[in-house]
Amino acid sequence: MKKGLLLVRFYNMDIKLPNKIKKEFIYTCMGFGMNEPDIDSIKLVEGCSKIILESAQPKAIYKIFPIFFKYDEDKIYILNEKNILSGKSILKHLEGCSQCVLMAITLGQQIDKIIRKAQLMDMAKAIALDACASSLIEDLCDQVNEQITEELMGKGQRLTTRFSPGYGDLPLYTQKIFSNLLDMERKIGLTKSSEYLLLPRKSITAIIGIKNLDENLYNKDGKIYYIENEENSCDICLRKEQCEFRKNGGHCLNKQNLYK
Amino acid sequence: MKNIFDTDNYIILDGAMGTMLQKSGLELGERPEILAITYPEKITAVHRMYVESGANLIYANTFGANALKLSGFNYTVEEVITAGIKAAKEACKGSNAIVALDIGPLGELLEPTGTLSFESAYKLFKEMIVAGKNAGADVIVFETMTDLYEVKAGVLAAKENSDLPIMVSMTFESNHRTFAGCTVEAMAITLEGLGVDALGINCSLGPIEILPIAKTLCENTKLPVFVKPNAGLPNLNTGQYDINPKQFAQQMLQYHDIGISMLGGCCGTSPEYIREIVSNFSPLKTRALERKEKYLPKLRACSPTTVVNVDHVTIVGETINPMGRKFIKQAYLNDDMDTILACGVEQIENGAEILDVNAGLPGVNEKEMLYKVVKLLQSVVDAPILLDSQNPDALEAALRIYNGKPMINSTNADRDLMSKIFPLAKKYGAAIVGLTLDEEGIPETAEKRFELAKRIVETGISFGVSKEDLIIDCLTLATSVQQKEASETPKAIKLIKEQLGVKILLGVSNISFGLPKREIINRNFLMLAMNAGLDMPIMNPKDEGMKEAIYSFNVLAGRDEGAKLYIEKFAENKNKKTTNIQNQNIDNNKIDIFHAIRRGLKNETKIATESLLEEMDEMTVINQKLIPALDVLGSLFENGDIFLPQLIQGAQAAQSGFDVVNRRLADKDTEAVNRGTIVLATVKGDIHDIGKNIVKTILQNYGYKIIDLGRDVAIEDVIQAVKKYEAKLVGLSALMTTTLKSMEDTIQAIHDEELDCKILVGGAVLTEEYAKSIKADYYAKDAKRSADIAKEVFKN
Repeated sequence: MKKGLLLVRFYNMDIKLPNKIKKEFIYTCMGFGMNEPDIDSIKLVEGCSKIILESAQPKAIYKIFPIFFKYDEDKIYILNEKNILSGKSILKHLEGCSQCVLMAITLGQQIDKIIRKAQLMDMAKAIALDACASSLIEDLCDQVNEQITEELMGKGQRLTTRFSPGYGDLPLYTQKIFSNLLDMERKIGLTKSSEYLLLPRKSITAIIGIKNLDENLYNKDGKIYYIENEENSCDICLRKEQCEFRKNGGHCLNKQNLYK
Repeated sequence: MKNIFDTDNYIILDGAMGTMLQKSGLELGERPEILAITYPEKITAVHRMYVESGANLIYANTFGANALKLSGFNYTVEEVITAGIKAAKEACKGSNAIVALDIGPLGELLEPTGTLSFESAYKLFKEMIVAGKNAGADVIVFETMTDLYEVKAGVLAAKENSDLPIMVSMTFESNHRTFAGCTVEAMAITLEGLGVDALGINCSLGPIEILPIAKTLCENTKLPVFVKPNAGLPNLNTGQYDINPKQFAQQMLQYHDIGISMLGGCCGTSPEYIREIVSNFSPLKTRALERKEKYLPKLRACSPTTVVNVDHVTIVGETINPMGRKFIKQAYLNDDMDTILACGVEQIENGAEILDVNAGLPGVNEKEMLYKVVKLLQSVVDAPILLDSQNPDALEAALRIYNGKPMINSTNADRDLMSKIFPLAKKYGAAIVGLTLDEEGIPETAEKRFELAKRIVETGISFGVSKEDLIIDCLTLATSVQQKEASETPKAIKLIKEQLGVKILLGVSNISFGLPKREIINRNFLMLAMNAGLDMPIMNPKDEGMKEAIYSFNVLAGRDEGAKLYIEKFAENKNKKTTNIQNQNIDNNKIDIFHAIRRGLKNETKIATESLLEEMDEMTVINQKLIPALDVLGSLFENGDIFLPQLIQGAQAAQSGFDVVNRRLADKDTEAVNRGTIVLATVKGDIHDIGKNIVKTILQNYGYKIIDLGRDVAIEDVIQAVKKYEAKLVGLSALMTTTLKSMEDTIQAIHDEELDCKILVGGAVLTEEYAKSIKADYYAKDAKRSADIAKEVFKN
């Protein structure tokens, strides 16, 4: 047996909940697009944000692994040949990286139950709760991402954007790698179904590529800086034709610019 | 073998296996259980270190050896478990240590959060248990469990397929709940009821953090308790656990006082930790017996998240019962589960703490229906359930899949019935109500009812049911018909309570049958009954008068400490009253139903519909008012003047109008409005159902009858439903590219069967072209479009 373990760093964290959930993403999820929501919907969202923030039990975990490219097979191994990333899109995304972060985050099972119950009693409320939870998990994912970035930046490393199973041609069964390598079921209560969907529902897993600074251009403005391997990730997105963000000329990775 | 825990010596459990294997160079991504086949000597060596450190009970390396986790690894469950047990037995040779078949979570979440069914979980556990028993395991341990439902499947599989003692430990987070929200108390009473032999806590936290959780566990069970904490908490910078063996053993000493019987370590611990524990604990005798003697048994029922302790007058909601309730009866006959579930949620919101569920009526298979209702109901309510049936088959089907500790309503003093129902209560750990009647009917006098109660209690105990789980119902008779006999009920309550010391349940409202102003009689009879000792009135939780009586009684009888619940209730009620007054101020004639629906105002729509019904017949209100209002709403949505939430709110307002009309039709014994039957399903493999449910809300509010098959629906279930309900339209939803194939297969199957129905598809990744290519008849880009399609199909 090879020893690969020492390269693995392991973090298990309880995340801080924000005081508010970002509104813009919520209304987009609810189908308002760029339009001004009506007063009843604003009130509804306020109430639902509160409920989601009160019931969310966010947990996250991430670890850093070495990666190995097998260009002849269009594959990347994480840690060892048992953990295979396949497909052209992830190959392109991680180009030039020597390590990656695997991260997993969940809002917990209570949220699913609340949304399930609302669907029975009040569908409009269910839509708002669902949108608030989706927005919150995105916010928290950003928060974890930023934390990782800050830490690694200090060590002279830079990161790609997040890439999740199901993006481009990275198959959903890649979730298996997260289960195996992060022990996410045990550590944060995040599981996958037999069809590789994440459960609880409001959960995200993602891969972030890590490059050493000397392998690429320096970060000029001193701010968090992403490698631009994937400058227009919409190209690989299967839902770009129906995307509410794109309809409004925006991008899901850059939500805050949408409404200016 | 059963009495291995019957000792006042501490039983020492082992420490981590995973941590030790990692130290020996195990690669991540490999199933550690398989090492028992590939490197058995490595596994045996780790076990032996624990035996040599003084562990008496060794967990075999079988934690994840279930068919789900082993899939793709070319070894069977039996092979891996046999090798795992063998490796552990090898290590125990020459010592007194015994071996446990170690079983961890299956790795997939059970319904309703996940997709794994209770029955599949049972089968997966059974496979492990049979293999473990055959390989010679001495004990079965379930550990690191977070879902009580999964544990129940495992415990039933263990009890029904082996005679081995069963230990269960669950993993709690710092909020003292598991990931699934299960509380320690719910774990204790559910699993003790199921006949588990020892209960414990392991993993996630260190000895200091687990101590208060273990204390709660010790206070809530008579069973031996065990703990296996981690070696402290992981250090955020290094990922290493932060306490050493000496500190660990020192911190563990505090567990002596709370009365545990067994201890060991989980993640981060090693043989050194176990050696330190042995040296601290071997001179001590456990205080478990002392704890057991202090334990006060009490009547409780629970779901995983909510325990109801019947130490005050506890409201049991009676509404889910087709007897005398036309809308529930109709819902059962139409397989309309949403109405039943909403009725459950509503009762809880109105103050019910326990829900009575009755699914018995002619034309409905009670066994299937009770099973189905309980399964669905527990996915949306936290309150425990009182299973209302005397049909042993129906009861067993529901008891098996109930997640928590339920109650049964009921047996009576008939010996034959008792011999069928008490064993069920015993096996599934349910509390049970006994009615004071037998084959000769209801006795007239209190004394005779007491005699029957005595017979019930004695028989129940002889079947192994704990006395605290026995509840007596001394029956309410109509005072207008049998005035004398009716007045015996409070006397009987008093007698039974004083002499037998069991809790009392009573359906109250029958007392006033045939009298005017029934609520006056009901409320005063309730007061008499509570004063005599009634604990659990079965009633309509919307009856404010009865609730006032109950809340005030709980204060006056000293069962609502500091009048906390009373204040909470009536401070809240004050607000409710003001809204009612506001509503009453609405001038009924001035409400425009179009405006009310446009604004999504349910109450106004209801009032407007009622006043319209004074001038028009039901169908006219629907065709000239409600449907046109929905059409207006639809075109506003299409034009982008309103958005999805407003469309839905408007549709829900219209629904309250439809409800008024339908109730009126039901009163006239006329069928509810049905403009066409539509089957809806999220296809097999897909669990996204909010889109489908939005479509359902809209279609329902247009007066279509919706057969909602839910999510992850098998092809044959769609076919069957279309045939059974003769649906002319099927709506299929899929949200993932991976499940479009499943949608295509479902459509193909419908075509193959040559069913006379149109197929409508929708979902985020679908397009008009794609829908055509998989031979769907229609593509709906949103819920509004699905309503247009329905109109076209049904030509209405």
